[in-house]
Amino acid sequence: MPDLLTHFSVAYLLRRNAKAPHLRATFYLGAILPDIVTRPVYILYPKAFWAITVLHTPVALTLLCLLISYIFYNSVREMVFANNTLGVYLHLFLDLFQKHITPEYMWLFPLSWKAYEIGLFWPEMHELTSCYHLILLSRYVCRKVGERR
Amino acid sequence: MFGGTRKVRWYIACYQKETKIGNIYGDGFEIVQPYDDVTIFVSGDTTGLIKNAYVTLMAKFHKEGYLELQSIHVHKHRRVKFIASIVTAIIVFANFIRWFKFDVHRKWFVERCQTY
Repeated sequence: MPDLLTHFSVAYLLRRNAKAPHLRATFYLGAILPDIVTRPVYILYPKAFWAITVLHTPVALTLLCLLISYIFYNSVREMVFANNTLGVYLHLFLDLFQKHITPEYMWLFPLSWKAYEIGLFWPEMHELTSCYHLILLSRYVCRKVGERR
Repeated sequence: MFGGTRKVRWYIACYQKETKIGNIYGDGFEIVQPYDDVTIFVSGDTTGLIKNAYVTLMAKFHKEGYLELQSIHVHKHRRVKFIASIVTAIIVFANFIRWFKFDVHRKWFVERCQTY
């Protein structure tokens, strides 16, 4: 996975100008959701890897987004579901381009257990992502300073 | 009981998140799996390996009790990545709590206010 900071910053870049901030918040939540529900579990308990990794698939995550949307107020439920799911798909889209020794993500689960990756970069491309984060941070700071003036 | 590339691949994959390099020798190195306190010798190229670095590797098991390296990837700055991810998760949750609150009576999240 690219780290959550990269997932969040790409989501921020895409949705920072959205008018409804509460829906932006659910989009950001969706952008980190696949790793939040899987990584902590199998980092703390590695034997759960194969049980938990299926949660990092489009079908499982869409169902999870549907479940999450039901803990929201009726009038925002559909929009929360849509934003959450879009965030999740953005996350999966970014994950598609990375490579591992053996591919990790089963995109077609439960139809297939095969894992596919495009394999353009390793998850630890800190040099590239750090530059990107610095540019984004400086833009954010400039914007805030501009707003105060 | 335990032979062939496929099983070794499965075994390493289960523990790949925390497999570390142990001692490095001329013809190979040791990998340490802290959770199980397992140390296994891996024969192969040691170029670019550093002790205590986190790695993912694919290797072939030999019945003599060692692994033969096929491919390896060193996870640079793994702990930095963890910390950055935890901080990001806190920021995202804080942003979420800023716009939503949990209604204890109805047991669902509602918007705090509509300012847009």
